[in-house]
Amino acid sequence: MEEEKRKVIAITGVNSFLGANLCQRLQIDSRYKVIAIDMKKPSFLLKDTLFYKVDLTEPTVDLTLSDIISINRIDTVVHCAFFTNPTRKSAYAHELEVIGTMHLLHACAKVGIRKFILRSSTLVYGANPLNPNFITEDYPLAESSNYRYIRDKVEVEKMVEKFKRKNPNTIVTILRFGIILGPTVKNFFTEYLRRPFVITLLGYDPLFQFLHEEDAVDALKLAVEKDCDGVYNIVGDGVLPISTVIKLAGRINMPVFHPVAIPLVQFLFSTGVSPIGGKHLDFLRFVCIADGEKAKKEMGFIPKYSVKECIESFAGMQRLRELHLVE
Amino acid sequence: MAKKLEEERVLNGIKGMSVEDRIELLEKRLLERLELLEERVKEIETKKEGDVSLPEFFSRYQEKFDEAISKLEKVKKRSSLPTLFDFGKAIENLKKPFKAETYIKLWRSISMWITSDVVDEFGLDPVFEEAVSPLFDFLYHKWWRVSVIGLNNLPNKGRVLIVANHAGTLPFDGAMIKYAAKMEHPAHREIRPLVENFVYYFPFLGTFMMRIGGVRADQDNARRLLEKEQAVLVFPEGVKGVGKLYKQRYRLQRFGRGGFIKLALRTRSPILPVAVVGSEEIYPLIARLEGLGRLFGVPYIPITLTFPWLGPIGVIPLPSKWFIHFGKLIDISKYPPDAVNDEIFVNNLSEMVRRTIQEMIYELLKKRRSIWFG
Repeated sequence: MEEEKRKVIAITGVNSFLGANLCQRLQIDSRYKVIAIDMKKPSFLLKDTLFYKVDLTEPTVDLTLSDIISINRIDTVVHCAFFTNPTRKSAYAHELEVIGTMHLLHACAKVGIRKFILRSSTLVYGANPLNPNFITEDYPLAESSNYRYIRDKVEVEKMVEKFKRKNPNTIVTILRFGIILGPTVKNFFTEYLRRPFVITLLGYDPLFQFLHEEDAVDALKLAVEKDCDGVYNIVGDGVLPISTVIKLAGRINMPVFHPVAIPLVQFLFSTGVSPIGGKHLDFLRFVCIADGEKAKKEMGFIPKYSVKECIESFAGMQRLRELHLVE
Repeated sequence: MAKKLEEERVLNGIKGMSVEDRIELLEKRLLERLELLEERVKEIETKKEGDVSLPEFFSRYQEKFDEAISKLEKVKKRSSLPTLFDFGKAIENLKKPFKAETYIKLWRSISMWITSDVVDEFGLDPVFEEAVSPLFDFLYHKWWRVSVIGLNNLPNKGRVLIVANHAGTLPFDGAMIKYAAKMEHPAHREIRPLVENFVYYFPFLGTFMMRIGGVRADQDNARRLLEKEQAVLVFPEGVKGVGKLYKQRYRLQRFGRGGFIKLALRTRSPILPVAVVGSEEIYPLIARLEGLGRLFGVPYIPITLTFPWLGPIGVIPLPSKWFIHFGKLIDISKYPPDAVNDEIFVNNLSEMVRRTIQEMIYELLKKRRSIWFG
């Protein structure tokens, strides 16, 4: 009897930072039962959490997924199986992100899932000189960007929108997360701030906003608990210019003239030294800041950490890491 | 033995002493030695000890004495100079170029020059603004001797859309209007000027604009500011206005496509017309090279009487006398918000504001006797 009262939540990509943290939070919550889906079994799973080893890029995976959903009577699917960092394996990234999402959506459509939550990113707006300082959810996405990493993410969102049009009864929540920063998270931005010298573009100092990792997980859990239909920007409060961000992180900025910086960073990216490619440098030139008002009003998501606290919590832990006091 | 120890102690102590004290000490010790020597000479003379003859004995020491005394003289001369500095510090300074720390500190101080850790949502940095205000203070009071008329027409609080004529190749007029309201208005209002797209993303200049309160000219940005009851300054002429040739001076250009009227109607903000006189003469523009400008990513390369012929000196603006006239508030609350969709109405209203500002400019020009002295 108890079993039936619990909501079953499936999380794809439980090895990703947000997937892992959400899974850990939900499996100790008596209201939920978690189904973890990924290619590799993570170590933190509890006994009553089911794990399915699924490769989203396989051609017939949609059938497998629909079986998993119907057998376990899954209520909500949280889709987190994405690359959080720009990757050199762009063909595989396309397969996993776009084709993988397509398979998952096919399975959800077949079973008629109640709720679908997509982990997206504010990067989908793209860095464009015409961006307003605060981008709202209805702003057009960077569909024709020449940056494949972003184009894939936009394509995924478009597919989910189409899915919503075809299945109006399903609650679809798209969460566009800002850059996540915090003591334990590892992504391209923490990698960018890890080195003593940090590349910036000469003469440009755009504003940046961050989201604390705890706030990010809170927002995702809130989306699971509450039924919020629509698109939400999940971002922290406040903005800071990138030079100040670097200063607060205790690093030294190294401005490079941008026609030189783009090929240089692209070269460093292809050799694996730089966490971001040359095309990502647009974000160091033009503002891409999202407006979090809608999430505050409709979802009730209030970020606990300001932009400065995000950077300080990351920088503090990074200093301990450099002293080998923590892993 | 005890004496040697004391000498060592004195030598150690010497390091921390000032130059004058050190010279005094050395002089004293030299005199002591001289006395000792004299005594020894007397001894030799009286007792006639050994084989050493006196002239030989003296010649042996004469040179060394001369050397020591000349050295002392030199040090004394140097120490009497007015620009006296600490030896320890000087040595530290000499060592500095060989330390990496120096360069890191220098770089930090240049690249993160006077910025604070907290900026407002459009990037206004209060510490930076404070730090550069002496420059604007100089330009405002000494260089252009700005006279402000009708500043009390600017309301103490609440949203207001300030519309002004644009001139002068570089947007100094925006800075001066902003400075006038901040310094001379009783409420010290902070005006947020809207900055052209190309200026906002121009290397260094854009960052500078952002830090002192400029906001990229965008409907969404302006609406956000007005909804927070701020004063927003727009130049509807845009690049056409700021890049007027000298022969077209004080002739207002087309006011965009009425975007500012739509903005005012949507946010229900009153419009405050402002006329600036004097800004046209700061860089008399003879020609503008548009093709070459495109190569550098700017709308045009300005050719003035002094630029680019005189290089960096040509960038110094001419010291004309400025007048800034804040006109009467134009109330738009009598028009319904859906008037935004009536393009002909928007265009007429825009033309009305343009004519108002043009009239204000004529009035100021009529009274102006001299470009340089007003």
